[in-house]
Amino acid sequence: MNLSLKNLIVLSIALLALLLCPLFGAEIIPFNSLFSTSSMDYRIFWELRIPRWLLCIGVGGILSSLGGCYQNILRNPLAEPYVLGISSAVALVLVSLDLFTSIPPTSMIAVILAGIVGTLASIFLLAMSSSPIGIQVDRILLSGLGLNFVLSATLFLLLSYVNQQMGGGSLRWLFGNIPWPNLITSASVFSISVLLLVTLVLFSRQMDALTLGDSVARTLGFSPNLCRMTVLVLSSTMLAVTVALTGSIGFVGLVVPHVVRLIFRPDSTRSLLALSYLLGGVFLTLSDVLSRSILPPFEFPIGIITTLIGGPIFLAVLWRR
Amino acid sequence: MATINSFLSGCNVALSTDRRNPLHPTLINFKFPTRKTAALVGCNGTGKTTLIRAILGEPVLKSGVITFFENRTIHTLPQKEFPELVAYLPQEQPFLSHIAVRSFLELAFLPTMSVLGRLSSAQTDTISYYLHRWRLASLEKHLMGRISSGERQKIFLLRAFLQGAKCLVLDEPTNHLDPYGKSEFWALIEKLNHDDRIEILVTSHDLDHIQKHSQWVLALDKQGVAFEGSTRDFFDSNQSKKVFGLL
Repeated sequence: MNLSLKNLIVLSIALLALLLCPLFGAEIIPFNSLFSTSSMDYRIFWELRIPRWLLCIGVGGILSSLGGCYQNILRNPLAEPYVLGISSAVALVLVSLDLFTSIPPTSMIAVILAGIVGTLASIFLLAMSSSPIGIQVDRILLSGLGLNFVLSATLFLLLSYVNQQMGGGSLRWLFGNIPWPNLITSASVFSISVLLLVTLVLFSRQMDALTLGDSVARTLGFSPNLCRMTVLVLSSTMLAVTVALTGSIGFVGLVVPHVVRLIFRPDSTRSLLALSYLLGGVFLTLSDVLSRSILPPFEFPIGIITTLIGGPIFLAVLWRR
Repeated sequence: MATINSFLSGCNVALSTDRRNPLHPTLINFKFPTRKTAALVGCNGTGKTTLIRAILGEPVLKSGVITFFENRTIHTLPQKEFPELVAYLPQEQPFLSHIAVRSFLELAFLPTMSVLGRLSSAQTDTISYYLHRWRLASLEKHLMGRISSGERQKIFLLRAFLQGAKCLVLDEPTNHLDPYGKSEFWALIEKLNHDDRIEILVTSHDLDHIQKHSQWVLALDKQGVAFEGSTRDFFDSNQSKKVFGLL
C-alpha cells in the first residue's frame, strides 16, 4: 500500500481522534483531572469510558474487517456482515430467551448461546450452498437473504409483542446499543477482535487469490471452498457474540471497507482488512461519543448515528473520486 | 532416462457438468507432443471449456485420466503442487480495478509468498525485467481498471507466465482483441513457447493465427474428438472447414 504523505496524515488524524475520544461524552473531561485519583472525573474516565471505548474499537474493528472480508469471499460489493442473517438468528434466539426465561441478552449464558447460534447458522448456509462441484458463492448470499427475511419477520413479530409488554428496549435489536461494559468484558471483546483480525490476515493471501477467480486461485495452489468455509464459520461465531452484546449496528461493515478503498486504495487484502479494522474502530468510537454528547443524558441509538454520519461521509468520498 | 514425449494427455476421458450425463457420446483421447503449441478448437458448445476445466483438475471428469508429462495425474495431485505445473488464463479474468498493474503481477508469486506478503528482491526484479522485455514497463504504475483491454490481456498473460509453471493453458485469450492486438498476442504466445520453453495449450477461434503459430490441433465436435494431429494436416485436409461446418 502506498505510504504516501496523504495516507499518513489521514491515519494520524484518525488515531489522534481515537485517543481523544474518552475525554468526550456527556461532559468533557479536562486533561489534568485524569490523574487525580479521587475525583469523579477520574472514575468516569477509567471505569466507565475506557471500557466502553475499548468495546467500540473492538466491535467497530470486527464489523469493518468482516465487511471487507465478506465483500471479497462473496464477490459482492454490497455484502456486509449482517447480510447472511446471522444477526437475525441471534436476535431471535436471545429475544426469545429473554421473553420466556428472563435471561438477559448480555449475560454470559446468552453470549455463549449466541456464539453457538452463529456457528450453526453459518453451517446451515454452507450446507444450503454446497453442490457436488463445491460451494456455489451466489447461493451463500441468496440463502442468507432468505434466512434473513424469515428470521427478521419472526423477530419483529416477537419485538412488537415485547414492546407492548415491557415498553421498549427492543430498539437495540434494530439499531444497536452500546452498553457500559465492565473492563473484563470489554477487554475480552477487544482481545478477541484483535485475534480475529490476525486470523483474517493469515487468510489474506488466500483472499487475494480469490480476486483472480476460483479457477486461477486453484492453479495457484489454494482451495477457494476451504477458505470460504473457514472464514464464514469463524466470522459468524465472532459476529454472533458482538450482536449479543451490542445488537445490530448497521452501516459500519458495509461502508467502512469502501471508504478505505476510496481513500487508501490498498493493493492487498491484508492492507484492506487492517485499515478497515482501524477505521471501523475509530468510526464506531466517534459515533458513540456523538450519540452521548448531543443531548445528554439521552443516548441516541448507535445505529442511527452511524448511518446519519456515515452516509454523508461515504457520499462525499465517493463524489470526490 | 526415458524422454517424455507429451506434455499433456487424456485417456478415455468422459466429461460431465452434472456428474451424471456425459457431454459427448464417445470417449476422448488426446496426446499433445512436447515443444509444440497445441490448439484446441471447435464450435461453441462442443465442450472446449469443460475439457480445460478437467485439465485444471476441476470435478468435471466423469471417467478417464488426464496426465501431465506422462507421470503426473492431475486429479491425484495435491493442490499445492499445482502452481509449478499449470498456469491458467480464463476466458473472463476477474481483477480488482483499483490496484496498480505491478500489484496485480505480484499475485503471480502468491504460492511462495510469506504470510506478511513480502516478495523477495529476486521476485521484484523478475517483474521489472519482464515488464521491460515485453515492452509494458510504462504501464507499471497504472491502475488495472485504467489500461486498455488489449494491454490488460497482455498483463494477464504476464501474470500467468510469472507464476513459473511448466504449462500455460489459455482459454480464448484473443476474443476481445482487435486484429493488431490478436497478432501481437499470438506473437507473445509463440515467444513463450520457443524462447521461454513453456508448453502451451490455447483454445481459440482465430483459424489464421492457429495455422501460423500452432503446431498441433485437437478439434472437438458434439460427438467427441473430430481431429487430432499436426496443424498442417488439419488445414491441408480441409478438416478445419468440416469442423466449423464451413463445408
